Amino acid sequence: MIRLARTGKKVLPGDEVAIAEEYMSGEGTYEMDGKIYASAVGELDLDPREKVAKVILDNPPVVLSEGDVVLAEVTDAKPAMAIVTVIEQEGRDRAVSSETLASVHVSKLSSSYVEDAGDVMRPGDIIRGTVIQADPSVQLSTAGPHFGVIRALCSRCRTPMERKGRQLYCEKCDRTENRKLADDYRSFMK
Amino acid sequence: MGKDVVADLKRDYISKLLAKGARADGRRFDEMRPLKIETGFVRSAEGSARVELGNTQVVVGVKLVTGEPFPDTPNSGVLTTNAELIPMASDSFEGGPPDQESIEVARVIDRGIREGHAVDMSKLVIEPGKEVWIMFVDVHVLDYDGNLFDAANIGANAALKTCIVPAKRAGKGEDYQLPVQHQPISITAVKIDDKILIDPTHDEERVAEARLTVATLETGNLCAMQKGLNGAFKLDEVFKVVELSRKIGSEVRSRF
Amino acid sequence: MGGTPTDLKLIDERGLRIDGRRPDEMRPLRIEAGVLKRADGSAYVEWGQNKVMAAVYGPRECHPRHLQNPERALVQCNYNMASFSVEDRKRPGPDRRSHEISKIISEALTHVVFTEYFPRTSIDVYIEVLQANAGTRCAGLTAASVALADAGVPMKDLVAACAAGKVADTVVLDLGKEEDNSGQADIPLGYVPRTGEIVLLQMDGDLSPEEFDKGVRMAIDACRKVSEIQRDALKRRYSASSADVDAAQAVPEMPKEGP
Repeated sequence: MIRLARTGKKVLPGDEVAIAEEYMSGEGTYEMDGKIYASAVGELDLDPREKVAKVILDNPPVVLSEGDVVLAEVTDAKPAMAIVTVIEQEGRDRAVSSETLASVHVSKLSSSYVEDAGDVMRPGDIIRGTVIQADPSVQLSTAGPHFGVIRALCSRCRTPMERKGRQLYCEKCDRTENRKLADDYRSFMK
Repeated sequence: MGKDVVADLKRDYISKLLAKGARADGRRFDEMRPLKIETGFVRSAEGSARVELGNTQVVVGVKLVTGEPFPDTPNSGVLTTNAELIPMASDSFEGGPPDQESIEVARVIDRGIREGHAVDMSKLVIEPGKEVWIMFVDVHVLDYDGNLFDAANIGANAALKTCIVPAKRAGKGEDYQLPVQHQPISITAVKIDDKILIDPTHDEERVAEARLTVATLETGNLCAMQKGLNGAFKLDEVFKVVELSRKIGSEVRSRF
Repeated sequence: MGGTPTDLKLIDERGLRIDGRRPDEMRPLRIEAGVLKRADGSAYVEWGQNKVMAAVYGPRECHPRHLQNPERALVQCNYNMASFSVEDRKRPGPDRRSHEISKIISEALTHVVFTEYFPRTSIDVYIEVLQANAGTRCAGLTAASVALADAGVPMKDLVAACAAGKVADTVVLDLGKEEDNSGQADIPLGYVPRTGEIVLLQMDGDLSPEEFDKGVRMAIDACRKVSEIQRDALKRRYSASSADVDAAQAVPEMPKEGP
């Protein structure tokens, strides 16, 4: 991605950053009476090609958008999709400010064929996914080695399961379960 | 809600580190976080301190008012300790009247001061059986990253040490320094995977099996304890925490 | 307002106030942004003998849920005085006064925040008064605005606040404790410098229309100064990151063509 015309200039809410005749109001700005003002603390970015004035926020609220990597908890697994609640955007230590209800369609669970979402995800699982759609509803994908289940509980006794090859194993119940696993299953670090 | 799930994820990470003898912030198991004490922070209080223990930040204020003694202790002042775990300090604290957690913090702080005879309460009597000084120790938590017990205890000790009895304002003679005689310092440890960790962070507290707070005096004697959480300690673990508390407590005391 | 004449001399023969200030002089104001780790945004304000901390959490899921607005975020302020913040120990917990102040500060902040960007969420603003010496609602609103900006909450401008009032028949700025206790009027005011809008206004006591006119204008002038101090605090907060930016600025990055 090519970075365009970062001005290096710090702006604060209410600072006039451009006039509306020359620029359109982008993220982190608002237009009023023919002028464009910053609406948040950050660095001013005036894009002379697209003619957009925006502010790159120093501490932006977490509003999920395409490409974001998130951690989520599975609340329901139906044949066609897993329903999840987004817990956080990975690496951001603040609450999600947009819709947290999301789903993973059975076709987006893995790069290989999955017949039933319930075969590879169960309620209570913690997963890592990529946002592939943010609006009108949040859709995630867990295809790829780094995505999928990062922590799962045995569906019988609720103790955390150990990885055994490509499957999960519960010592207590001597029981094996299937999941679409992420490469850092239970070695997640903050 | 979501945060608890993240705590579960961190549990694996913390366990893995502990197995290697390490903590997430690089401390030794028996090492406290950096401690900063600022006394006289609040002028409207008769004694006050702001304490930072790592990223945990508390303000303790002491107020003194005159009132009646308890009928069974006519020759003693009255101590009242209160803790406010306000939602400013953490998204896990809720507003409203004190819950069990803040009452436990307040009572453990109270026990240390009371049983450690931090203040000579007999010097807080104006007229025996009729009028005494009532001492309010209020703990206000601003930023919460674990181990409120010790941050608040250290804050209370520092605030008491600088406290002036406002006798003049109450028309009871000249102001005088609160008669502080001891510093009962508490040190808290948690147990995770059979390891004993001093001064737990919030992340460590959330995965801890058991917690033990031990308050000691300058003599090396013990004056208050509190075991918490659903797990348990073996006797040798208790002795270990007691020893660590005596040692680290005296280091903290040397800061006063 | 006490409004009772006392032998306390609030204005001396040189026209100076009890703490030596001129009538239009504000108490010293110091603001620090980003002082708490746990909160999403925070600010600490020392204003004369007032010490006030503000913290912001959110936008986040709105509790209680029945207050959720499908169109907007809800700005919920909670103003609280520490029990040791006043001379006579205050009972912990909210009273009618703190409920009222919480409400008017929430309303003042709601006006400048782009609440429509975060439907169904709540932006929680906590104001803790650690040491009170008259003017805590203005100090609280001033701190809360900085904390909101520190949290990256989009807003039209920071709200600045300051009070004017009347003591010893003189219109004065930013009443101190003695002045508040035995003065004749108080006008706390919250102002949006960018738009010239008044978003918080209360008054109690006794004022002629001329005195009110003078007082309000004095308070607005002071709000402009408060605003500068607020902005300076935010600039200092991010000076560490802007040092890198300054270095980058030395070699201006030219606009490049896309691929």
